[in-house]
Parts: sequence; C-alpha cells; structure tokens
Amino acid sequence: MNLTLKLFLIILLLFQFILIVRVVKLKKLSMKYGSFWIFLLILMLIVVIFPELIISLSKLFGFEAPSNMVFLLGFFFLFYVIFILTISISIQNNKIKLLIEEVSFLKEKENSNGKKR
Amino acid sequence: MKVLMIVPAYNEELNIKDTISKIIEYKKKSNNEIDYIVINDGSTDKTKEVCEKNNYNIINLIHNLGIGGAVQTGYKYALENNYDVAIQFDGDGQHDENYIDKLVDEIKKGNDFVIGSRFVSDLSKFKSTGTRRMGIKFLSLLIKICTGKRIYDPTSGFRAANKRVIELFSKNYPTEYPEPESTTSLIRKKYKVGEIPVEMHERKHGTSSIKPLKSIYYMFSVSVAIIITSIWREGK
Repeated sequence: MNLTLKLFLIILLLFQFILIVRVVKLKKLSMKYGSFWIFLLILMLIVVIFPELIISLSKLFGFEAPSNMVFLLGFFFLFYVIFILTISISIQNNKIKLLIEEVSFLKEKENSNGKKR
Repeated sequence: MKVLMIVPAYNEELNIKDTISKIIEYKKKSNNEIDYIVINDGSTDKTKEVCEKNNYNIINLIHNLGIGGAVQTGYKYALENNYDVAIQFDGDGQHDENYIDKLVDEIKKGNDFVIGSRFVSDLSKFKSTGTRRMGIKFLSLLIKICTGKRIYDPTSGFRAANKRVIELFSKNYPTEYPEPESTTSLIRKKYKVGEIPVEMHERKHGTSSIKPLKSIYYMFSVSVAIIITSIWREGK
C-alpha cells in the first residue's frame, strides 16, 4: 500500500476516534456502543498498518482479489449491525409500551382517588 | 448522620432476607441513623414477595434496568429524602454490615466517596478467583495511569457517598459495569475518594452476574470507559 494512502487512512481513523469520544462525552452515545465502535476502529487500524494480513487471509480463503474479501466482510458486518439495531429497537418498543401502560395505570389510580375525596 | 443503605437485588429471593435482617440487626448498635431501601430490579423470582411478606422498604422497578439503573434509583431516593450518606450494599450477602460505621467515619473525616476494598490489607479472606483478581489489578493500574490515583478495588460494590456525590450520581450514573467508570469520573472531577479495608464473603446462593465468556470483552469495554472518562473535558 502506498504510504500517502496509508497516512490518509490513519488520519481518517483518528478523526473517527475523536468523533466517537466526543459524542460519548456529550452523552449522545452510551459508553457501551462507544467501546464497540472503538473496538472496530482498532481492527481497522491493524488492517491499515499491516495490509499484508488481509492479502494473505484472502489467499488462504480463495478470494480472487483481496478487495473482494474486504467488501464481503464489510457487507456482513453492516448486515450484523442493522440486525442488532432492529433487535434493540424492538426491546425499546416493548419497554416504552410497558411504561405507557404503567403510567396510565398510575394516573387512573390517582384520578379515581381524587374523585373519592 | 442519616445513612441510607441502597440494596440492589436482582433475583435474590434466597439471599435478600438474610441481608436485610443483618442490616436491621446492625441498626441497633450503630452510631448512625441507618435506613435501607431494597431496589428490586424487575426480578423474575420471588424477591418482591419475600420483601413484601417481611414488610421491607422496597422500590420495585417494573422492568429490569441493570445494576447501574437500580443503584441510580437508590441515589435518587437518597436525594429525595435528604440523606447525608448513601451506601451501596449488595443484596447477595457478599458485603459485611459490620463495616458500615467505618465507611461513614471516613465520610465524616472529609472524604466525598469511600470504597470498601478487599485488597487494601489482608483483612478479607475471600478475594475472588485468580483470573478475576488479575483483571481487577489491571483496572487498578489503568486508573492509576489515567488519573494518578491508586484505587485497589475499583470493582467493589460496597461504597459510601456523601451528599455532593449523591446529587451527582442521581443525575448521572453509568449503566453497564458502573463501578470503575463512576470512580474514575469522581477522581477526575477532583472529589476526595478514600478506600478502607473490609471483609467480603462468598455469595451463598446463585451465581455472579459477570459471565466468564464475556469477560474479555468486558475488560476491553471497561478499559475504554476508564480511558474516555479520564481524557478531555466533561461535557455539561
């Protein structure tokens, strides 16, 4: 890999890292997902510094070109992320439903108590 | 001083009665005014029924929030009811109630936050398994590097907080594996954090919440949490 490209990618990853830390600090992203993304950044950094890893791996698995393997892995990974997202949306929907039910229940109780007095 | 014991409990039907009776027993000989509140974190077993049968003070969360949310509920309760000190005390019988007054004494001496530690001295015979102890040593070293302060038992869940910290925690408390992260953020914000030796016991029933398979990723995410907490300024 060309040195300029390598440097460019490393700088890009650095910016991504700063972005992640910032949103975590501003409490826009929870620490759990923050550390997940940082884990991914570290993996990408390893690949950028040692691209030979990907090349020999793709040979081992019989890919025609290393880029094919990278794209396939990227596709699988994104698929997995979206899958996890839909799971967590479903969990949240359930929790919100439960909250609405409980709060409505409480309000109703409060109202009927008021009427009795 | 008015002291609140925050007892988070998730599926502790076998341990909770023991834990609370010990606190009630200790209340009589303590120099402080001790209350307790059980935070039932949406248990699926009979924890709620056991507590209600024995007339314990309890807040039932309608859904499982995880340890961070349960403990934060306790801090909110402490703030609401104007307690001077809040002490986290596990519902599983690991912690020894005889050290409550010692923790409160450290708060009286001017500490904002005091951790009951297994590793400050050789007092505690139960020190957890070898691999977990190595993990704790590593986190301790990481906190030392990031903040400059040595905390010997950063994962201890037996901790006392004064009013300032109660106020802070009731607004802001981490969700997953909250102990090391919250301690780091306190040191970083220049709160006085103390640590005293306490005894801990092996839990009598049930298993701990941290599963061995996930522990490597746990170590990674806690480390990231400690590092992120200690670098850059805090967002308001």
